Amino acid sequence: MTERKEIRLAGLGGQGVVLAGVLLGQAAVDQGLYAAGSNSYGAQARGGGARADLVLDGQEIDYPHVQQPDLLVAMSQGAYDTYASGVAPEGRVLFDSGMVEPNAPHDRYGAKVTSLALDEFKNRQVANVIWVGLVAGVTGWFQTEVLERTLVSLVPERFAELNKAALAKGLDMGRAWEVA
Amino acid sequence: MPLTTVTNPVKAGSRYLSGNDAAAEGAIAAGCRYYGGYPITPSSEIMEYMSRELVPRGGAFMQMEDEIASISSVVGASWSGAKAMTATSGPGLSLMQECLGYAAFTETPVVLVDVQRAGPCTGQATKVGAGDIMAVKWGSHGDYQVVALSPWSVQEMFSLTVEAFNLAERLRVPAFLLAEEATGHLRERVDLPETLEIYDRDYVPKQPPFGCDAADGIPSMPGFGMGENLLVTGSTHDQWGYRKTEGPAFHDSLVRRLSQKVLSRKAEICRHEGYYLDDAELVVVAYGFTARAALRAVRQARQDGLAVGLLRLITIWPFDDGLITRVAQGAKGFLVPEMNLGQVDGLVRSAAGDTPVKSLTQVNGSTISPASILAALGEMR
Amino acid sequence: MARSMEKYLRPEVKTTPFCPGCGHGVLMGSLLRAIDQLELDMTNTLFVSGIGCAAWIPSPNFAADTLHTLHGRAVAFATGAKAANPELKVIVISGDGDLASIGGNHLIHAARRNLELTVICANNMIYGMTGGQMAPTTPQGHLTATSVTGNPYRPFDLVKLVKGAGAPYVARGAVTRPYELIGYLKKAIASPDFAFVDVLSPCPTQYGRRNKLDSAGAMYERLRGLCQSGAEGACAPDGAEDTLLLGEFND
Repeated sequence: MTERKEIRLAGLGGQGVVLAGVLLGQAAVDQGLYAAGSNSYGAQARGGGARADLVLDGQEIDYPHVQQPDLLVAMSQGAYDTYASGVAPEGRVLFDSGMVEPNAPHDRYGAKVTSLALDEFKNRQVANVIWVGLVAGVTGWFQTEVLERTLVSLVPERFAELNKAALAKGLDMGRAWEVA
Repeated sequence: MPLTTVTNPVKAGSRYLSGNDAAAEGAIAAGCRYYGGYPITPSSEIMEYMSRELVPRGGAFMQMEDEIASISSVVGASWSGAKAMTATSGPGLSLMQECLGYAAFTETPVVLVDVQRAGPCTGQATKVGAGDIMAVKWGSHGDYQVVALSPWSVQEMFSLTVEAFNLAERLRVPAFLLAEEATGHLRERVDLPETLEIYDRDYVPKQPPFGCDAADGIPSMPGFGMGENLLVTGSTHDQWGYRKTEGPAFHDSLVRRLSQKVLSRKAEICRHEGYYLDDAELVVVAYGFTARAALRAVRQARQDGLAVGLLRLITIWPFDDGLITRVAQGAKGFLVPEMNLGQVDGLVRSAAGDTPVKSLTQVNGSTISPASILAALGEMR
Repeated sequence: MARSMEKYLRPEVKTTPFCPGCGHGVLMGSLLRAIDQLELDMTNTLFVSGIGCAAWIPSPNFAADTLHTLHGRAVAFATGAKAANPELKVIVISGDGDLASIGGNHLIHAARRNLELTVICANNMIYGMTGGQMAPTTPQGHLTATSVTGNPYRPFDLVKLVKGAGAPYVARGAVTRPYELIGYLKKAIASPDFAFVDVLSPCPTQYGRRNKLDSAGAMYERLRGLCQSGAEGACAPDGAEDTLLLGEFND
């Protein structure tokens, strides 16, 4: 990947939006890319809107803020309604189909990620890691071995296997969408 | 010269760091051994980092009762021989102003990181601003000088913190890292070096600590516990620190020297970067985070065929008016975008001569976009 | 000053700046005697003071490192100096307005943190240097330049304040009882904790002349009569405030 790419992850406080952004940014740097991430959240610590923006580039990034995302991940209806219209014309939108009713014209993909985390992994907290896998699977911008290594370095050791499984699940889903 | 090359004590190589963490690592890399602070958004991560890392590295950390105490303790620590710092944001900076004057007047090396937020007053505590440009220079009473550096990236949150320490120690002045919330909270790739150039304070035993023959001289910097019987005072003093609160000569020569020791060294202190300036007709003068939007805008304008360049100010104080005057000679106009109501704009105007200056201001708690700068450039054609 | 104490003074300094009858000279002498008896290494001793008459006790008189700071901030400066170099013995000496009014917050937080600092309050119950204004220690009803009909407020009891904030060693002495005072100062300086000594010191110039105590002698006589050590009575004599009760106040 050499061209500038912009990713926006948006949802509610507590959904792990910020950590997902950090994970993707760290993974990008670990694979030799330039990355710039910024977060936006309300003054309240829990429950407000949360947003993590990430710019990736093969060369030094001049302007580090997202202007027109190539990829939006909307984890809540509010996030979808706020940000879907700002996605680049050729961009893509991923959303949680258990929580979001989509209406934007973009190439889009819905997955019940929150339900999946609860049903398959018995852990709501891994939803954001499934999203990270989905982003990587859909875009092909991340080296999966590096991403897994970065993930393991950022989560507590006792949750490493759980997170790796969640990542793999997301990657599979994302890749499947790409070939469909 | 006591500028030495040392091994970087923090992890070198490519890393993904927040600006505030990078500033804290820069401080540790520069040899900071004391941090005194008080929590305030959006700078608190610096304090949290220092609370974890400083003591294991042989330094001391104190969470003080307010920002007045924070900077007071930093000055005390500096005289105890430690490279010392604090970090804050606008409301804390306001409280620090009294002791900032003390540090300047007693020639105490201290580093202050100001992660600027949208002021005045409490303002928008979590939102960005750049309204402290004048406050760091003019906020304490009387005439004095400081150094203020403006980082535009996480990389510079690290490297300019190191430079702030080096300048503070070399010049015996308060040195600011004049950062902004957008950079403090930005996470970005940094490439940290294996080695660094570090300035350790000049100390010659039994020399006067507060005066020297040259009208712009920088005296030797001793510390407590060295057998120097130091007299440090915020009152007007002679070269040994004896209060001289009567005769006019002591005050006049002291106040002038403290200014001159900074102003006469502008050539060594002041740094800038130019982009596409060679044939630029319109020049954007920008600093801090806004300069990144400006660079993006300038590149887009170049693609549209506009002869536009960027002059990025890295050093804000002392202000390099000679640089503005030189660039003005080849320019048809300046555009100064700022997240305040035109604080650097006035400085540019006073140095630009006949070259017209347009001010682009934004104080809505968000960063200025490349599109806004591009539009303003379009209006100037 | 006795000849034997001259070694602690800078030879360049020939006189103190204190008014006739000011108690601060006695406090200064008592402090140096305490230091002498403790055989304190002055090379490793730092004196920190704020702004006001008492701030001039160490600066520039003492032949040691001195840090003459901003009004009220002495304890905060001292905290940084001590934290950065724990080998230093750090002694703060400043006035009641400095330590208890503008610097009151720094005082109680330093007591709470229990960093090893000795804080000596030269308490003359008035703002002397600025012209005799009301202090947070001025007794209720007493006359000052800003309370010409009498101070309407209660004074701080600094001993209770600092003890309540957690200081392990708290004492009150008076310059009228210098030998007891020297004992308190020695214990405070030798303490490995935050230690506080409130020292009653008459100000004939600003306080006495406004309160019908026209001579230094009259002020000393009054103070001598009112002060009582805790050991003797455990409470102040009739008509005197708790703020005049002397002694060590430790659990």
